[in-house]
Amino acid sequence: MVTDMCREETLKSILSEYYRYNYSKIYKPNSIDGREFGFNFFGGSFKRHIGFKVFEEYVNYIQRMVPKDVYYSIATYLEPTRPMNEKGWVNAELPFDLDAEQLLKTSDELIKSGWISQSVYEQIKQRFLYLLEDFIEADFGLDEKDYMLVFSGGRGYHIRVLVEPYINLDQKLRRQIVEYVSIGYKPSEPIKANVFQPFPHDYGWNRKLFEYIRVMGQSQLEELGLSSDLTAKRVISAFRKAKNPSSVRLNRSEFTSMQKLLDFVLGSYTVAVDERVTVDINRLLRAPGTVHGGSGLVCKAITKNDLEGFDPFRHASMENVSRKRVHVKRVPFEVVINDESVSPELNGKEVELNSALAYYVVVRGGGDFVDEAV
Amino acid sequence: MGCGCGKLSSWVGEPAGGRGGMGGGRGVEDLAARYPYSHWGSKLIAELGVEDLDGYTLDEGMLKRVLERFSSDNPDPERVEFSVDYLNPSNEVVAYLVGMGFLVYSRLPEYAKMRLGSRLFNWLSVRTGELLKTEEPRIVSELLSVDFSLPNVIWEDGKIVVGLTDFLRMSHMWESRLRLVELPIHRGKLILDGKSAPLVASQLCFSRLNQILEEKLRLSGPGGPRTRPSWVDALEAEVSKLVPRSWEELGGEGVLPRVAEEYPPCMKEIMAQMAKGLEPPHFARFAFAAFMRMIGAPKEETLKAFSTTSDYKENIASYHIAHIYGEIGSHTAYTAPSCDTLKTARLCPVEGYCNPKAKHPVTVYKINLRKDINSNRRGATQSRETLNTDTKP
Ligand code: SF4
Repeated sequence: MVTDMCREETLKSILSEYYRYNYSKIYKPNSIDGREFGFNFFGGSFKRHIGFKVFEEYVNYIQRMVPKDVYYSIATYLEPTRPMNEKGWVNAELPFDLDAEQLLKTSDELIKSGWISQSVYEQIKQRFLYLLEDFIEADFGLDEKDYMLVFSGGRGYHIRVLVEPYINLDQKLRRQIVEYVSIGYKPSEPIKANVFQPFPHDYGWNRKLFEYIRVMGQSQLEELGLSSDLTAKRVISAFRKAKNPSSVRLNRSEFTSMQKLLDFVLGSYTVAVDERVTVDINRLLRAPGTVHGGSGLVCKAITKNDLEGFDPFRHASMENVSRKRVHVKRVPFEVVINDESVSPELNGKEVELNSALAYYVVVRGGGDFVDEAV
Repeated sequence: MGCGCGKLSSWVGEPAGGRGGMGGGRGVEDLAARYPYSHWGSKLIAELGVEDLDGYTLDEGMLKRVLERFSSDNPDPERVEFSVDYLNPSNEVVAYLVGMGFLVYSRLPEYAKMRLGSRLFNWLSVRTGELLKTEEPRIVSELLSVDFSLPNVIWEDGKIVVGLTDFLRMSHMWESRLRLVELPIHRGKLILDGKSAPLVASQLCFSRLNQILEEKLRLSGPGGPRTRPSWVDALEAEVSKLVPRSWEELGGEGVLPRVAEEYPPCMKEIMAQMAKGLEPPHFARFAFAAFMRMIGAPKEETLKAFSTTSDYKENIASYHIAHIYGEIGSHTAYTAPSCDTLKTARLCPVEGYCNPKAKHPVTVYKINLRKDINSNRRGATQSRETLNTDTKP
């Protein structure tokens, strides 16, 4: 067991090693001289309103100070180092943040405390891909040159839309975009009509709801307790027969039944992005290429191509050579980093691990360094 | 893809006939009568030389026309064609100028002008939406691109296509009846047909009218209007009957306990946004501050609620609040907007009314409070009150 101070020093030395040899992996943000930087240091202090004129200054600062976490503003400013209301906002990337806890709507203590298993990461990734392809690309018409995909190093992924006119949108419009992605839409009750047209046009959410209901099968009806509901089946059949959303016609009881189906569809096909992140035009987001101090995984920019096979434990680990002795106490599942694993069977034992894995285990509270002289 | 010239039957079906006939296209005068705020309207205004309404005398007919537009009713969709004075298009453009001029020059309190403005703009934009349903796509495209400043309006496969972000930029979506989720979005574009184009145009019209008013107010100078036309007085006497003169008319004043749990959903929503550090629109802040004033909250308490917004500047917020509390400026204490106005501004988060017996958030709050107290929870209420004061942002 080591003291808190010793532990922090050891963690810092691991990051220091990473930054000494991997500075080329630090991502160079565009308009760096217009960004505000923020740093969380070991020991608990946080510094923001920091600016760098050139990329090298930024890299040197990280190597010299070895911060626990590095952030920079999604916004660019005229004077990024001045107090908030004097900075002179120019524009801001439009970010989407998918976080395990929000996405999986879970209060799972493990996930809350940062223990994300490979299978949970996989679920988040699939959801992330869905957000990317079905909303960002299909609806907003953006493609790979317009956005950056980032594994946050922690519990999820970010999409950062980098191009005009999205970077000029104000908070109100950003909020509408969040609503589009994470709340969706339900046609409202017809007032007078006997024959009701739920979808006035063929695009956007109308198209999504139409397509999803068409493919609803018996298992989903069962899940909804509607497996023997003839009206619900009639609705699905009417959707299947219709050529496009705007040609669907329902009577009142079918419309009411459709709404139950829509609740299910909306619950399944909306994506719970973090509203605060998307709407806040002055947000500091974790800097790609730097290490997430709470996990030891690298916040990493990835291409859409890489995303399919991306495994945070394999592709976002620090490639350190040093090794550390760790007393493993509470590792909940097997974690493999840099081809070395630690699993619950090792709980209660002392082992030597590569420093990236050691960092992960200790910082997540699954163990502690042993006799670590820095 | 084409330029959008010519009427396509796939657009709106066979358009209705009538004066201004669709076959050969409408003349500028008819278009000016239908859309008086448009470039066609401006052309007619210039021809008539009535820009400033100098020496204008308000007659009975015009008074009636303008009052109708300031009343809370929307034009009847069935009769919208009949609401256009095709025989005297000048009446339409003058009515528009009188309405706008009134909003600039009237001395009615700000809350009243806001309410009247929102009714007038609502009336004009709903009428625009209805009229566009029978319009040629060429005219819709022209209105969208020239008057509502949408660049790159194109005609594609029987649809008007506009850039999604161009639309977002031009419309005050927050204040609109339209939501992004309801729009025909596809690959960064809005694909508008004969039904959705009028809706979208109606929204843009509402935004554009607000913008025009803002420009006019700016031109009228920071110290208020310099020259107040004489017809404004005559109109003011009549128009002021359409809005409550004081909030007492809405239910009386008194210092009520502040129990945030019992606030109506609209106020809770604004509070929640501020607490999250977001920036609710100006009108939402106005509504909240006026609501707090009406329930007897001290200024400091209201200011505290604003302090978490990300654009918070204490001196500016206190100035606005003092204004709303009637301590500076016109010394008129402002009334919180009614449910209908909040609905028009899309600040009401509920379908219908949260209490069918009330049409004003203060009344809703009073009823909630009464229920709360009646259910023998006075003790609990008081302890909550202390809590709210301490924990409210
Ligand atoms: S009905 Fe009125 S009081 Fe209730 S939430 Fe809507 S605006 Fe507020």
